[in-house]
Amino acid sequence: MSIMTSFVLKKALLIIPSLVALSVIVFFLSKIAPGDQVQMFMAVRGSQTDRLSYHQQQKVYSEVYEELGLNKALFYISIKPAYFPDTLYKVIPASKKNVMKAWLRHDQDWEWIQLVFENHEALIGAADFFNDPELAFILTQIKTIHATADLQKARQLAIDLKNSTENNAVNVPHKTRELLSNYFINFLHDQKKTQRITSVFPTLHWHGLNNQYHQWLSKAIRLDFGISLTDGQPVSKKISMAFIWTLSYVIFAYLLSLFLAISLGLYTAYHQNKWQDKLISTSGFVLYAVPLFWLGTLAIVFLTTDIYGKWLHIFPDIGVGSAYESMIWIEKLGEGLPHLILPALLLGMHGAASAIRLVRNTAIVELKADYIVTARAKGISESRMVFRHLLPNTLLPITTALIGGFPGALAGSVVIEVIFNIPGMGRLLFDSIRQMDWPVVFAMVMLLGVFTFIIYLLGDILYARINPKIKYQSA
Amino acid sequence: MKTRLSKISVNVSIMILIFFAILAIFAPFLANDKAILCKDVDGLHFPVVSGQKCEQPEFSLQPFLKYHYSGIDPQNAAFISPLTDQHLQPGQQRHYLGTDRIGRDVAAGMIHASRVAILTGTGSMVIALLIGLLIGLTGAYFGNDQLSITRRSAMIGLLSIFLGTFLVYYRKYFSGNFSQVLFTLLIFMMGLVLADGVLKRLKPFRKRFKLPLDMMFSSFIEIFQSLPASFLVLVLVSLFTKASLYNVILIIGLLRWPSIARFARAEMLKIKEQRYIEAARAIGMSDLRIIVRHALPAVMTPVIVAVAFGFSSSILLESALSFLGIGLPADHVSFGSLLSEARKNYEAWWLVVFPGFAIFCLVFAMNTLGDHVSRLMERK
Repeated sequence: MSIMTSFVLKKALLIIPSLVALSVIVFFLSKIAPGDQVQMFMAVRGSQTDRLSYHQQQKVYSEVYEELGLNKALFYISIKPAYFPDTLYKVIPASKKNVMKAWLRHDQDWEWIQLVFENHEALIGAADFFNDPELAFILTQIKTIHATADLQKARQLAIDLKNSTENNAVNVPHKTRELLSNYFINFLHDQKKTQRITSVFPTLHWHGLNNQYHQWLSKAIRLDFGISLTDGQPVSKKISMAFIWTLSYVIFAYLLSLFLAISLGLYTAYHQNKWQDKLISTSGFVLYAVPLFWLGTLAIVFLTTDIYGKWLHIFPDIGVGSAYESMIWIEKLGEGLPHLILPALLLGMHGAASAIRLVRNTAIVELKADYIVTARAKGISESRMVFRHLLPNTLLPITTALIGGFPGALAGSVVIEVIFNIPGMGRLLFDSIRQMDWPVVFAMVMLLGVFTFIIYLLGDILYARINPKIKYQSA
Repeated sequence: MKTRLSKISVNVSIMILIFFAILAIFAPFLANDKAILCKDVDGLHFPVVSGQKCEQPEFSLQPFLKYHYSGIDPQNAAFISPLTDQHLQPGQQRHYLGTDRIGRDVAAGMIHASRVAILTGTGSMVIALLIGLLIGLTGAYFGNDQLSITRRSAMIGLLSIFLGTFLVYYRKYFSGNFSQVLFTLLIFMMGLVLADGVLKRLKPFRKRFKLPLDMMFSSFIEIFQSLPASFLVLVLVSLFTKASLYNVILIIGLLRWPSIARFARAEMLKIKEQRYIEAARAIGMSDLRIIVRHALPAVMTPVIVAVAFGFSSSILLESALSFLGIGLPADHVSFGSLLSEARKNYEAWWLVVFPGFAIFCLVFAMNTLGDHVSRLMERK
């Protein structure tokens, strides 16, 4: 095995644990995202729940909840205090789970909480069955109790309710009277539970392969990220269309910035401290300090409208023209391409501003190296010296830095796409974040992460290939 | 470049920074709809601080701008240019830099925005400095073979990290009951001491091994550096249920430390070989003392360069976020949010030019200073 192969293999093997770590982090981040996914999913499906009774609503909700797999354990294992039930994740909906958790925090008595909630459910079922107004009224109050996270407050409410029902001798169906009294007895039962020391010890639970992470990952490997919560389209379809838009102008911008950075960087290094260098370096430095969104806004205000003179209206309006849904992507692209020129130019120039310094500083160091002096002493032409000797040696140490800019660029410049109204990746991210469309957001994070790793791996391989120090290093 | 130009630009940059610092520190006293000092029937008081009203004063000291950054002037709503006639009542101050869509004074907004920008830069850089210095300095100082620990202490360390995380994560489930918290802590401590005692007696756990700290930390730095930071900031900031500037500062700080760590590490590797560190070690100084007392001051110069550039990039990030309106409260006023108002009306050039130019000045000044320091270092 040559040095080269082992070098690449080593790098490739390192990627696997990184990808696993990435997927775990992305998954758990997606779990702390705000908003109720189930509700959004129901809305996107068009499920009408307003007219249903509370009980039926709960049923629809739990069906969707189960369909999304949210009633499964989060991960293969979990570590919890011993008194914690290992089946809490099965509780639907989340609001009920939160109340249960809060009560658990206070009392640490899972059996009692289960019992009380079971009684509550039984009462709801009875109320739906008998359709009795007085029972329904009592039930609304009981529901308030079960939505109160503070257990002491909930107890007080229960006591008040019990007293008022007893004093007013409410007239509820005979069969439910027993249920009701049972509920109050159970709820207000004051047991002195002895808390064992071991109840707070960390315990490990094994949930098996049937968990949310496993489910998510095995789908994600097949590029199935579920559906978007705003329009019900598959996430991967949304992302792929946005990706095409972004790719079409980012490639141009990236190549432009590479070209500008390398040519101007070498030029300024060659003419170090002359006026050409000072002019270009200073303007690069100034441009580097200009915020991209300011540049974009200025360009739009002055270059794409008639407001400040017709002669300044050089570029077409923002947006990507009239692309219709029925068009295939290549037609859409053709329609939008003229609108992508200005953003690509801005992005390319802005990207070049920082890279020029990098190229210049490296080239200045290389210009003082022995091989340059030797080459000049041998009398080769200056242009041959620059292109054959200086250029490769300058690019070598900064390969990774130059390539590293690409994954970030592919994420799309959010500000540029938002300003110019381009339906690319950055715009998709922006819209999805604002609408809490988390499946899309986290699919993008995951894909971008994978992409970053791959690009860096390719960068390392490229570096190893073109670097003679690694290529000719024999074992 | 030892030219006059660079000297001038450094001086100008310092002045710009001082100017913005003054705006940031005294923002409420410079632009406010309340008087700074007021003498009326209640006696002498400071309405800016206390929030009291100042009616029919005998004497009052008004701020430079009599507008609050969130105060709305309905007479001058819908983008009033600074150059046109404004609908002013007698005695009312002009809107020197115009107004935005709902009639907020842009000049007052700019003063408050300077405060937000300076706060963002400073806050996130303090966080980044703490992490960056810790990781950069310790990694380089101990290298891959300086720190050797026994397997026992490694085990106990991991165990205490686990128990600590467990306690912190489930803190809410213990806090209902204070005695239980104390009791749990006590039990965990006793468990650790017991485990320590047992492991001490076992031979395989007495073996020492070298912790490759530098390798661990530098790959950590590499991974963090390869992350597309602006993308991540956008996503992470939106995960908070309550939008606030402090979340933004925290997230930026947590993602902006790698460059500081890299500079600190590179400098530490140079310093480590120097005689005075060797001498300090020889006389038996503790590692902590050597790092803090002797290495830290020497490392600070290159770190300042990273901090200066990090400062400006976090200002840029925060303003981009508020320009997009993500992760920050709706009533948040900063340079980015002022600029975003211009997108609703392209004719409002004052909303494009002034805030953008202010960010540019701040960022340019910081970058120039960073650049200057790095040149000074090269010359040395």
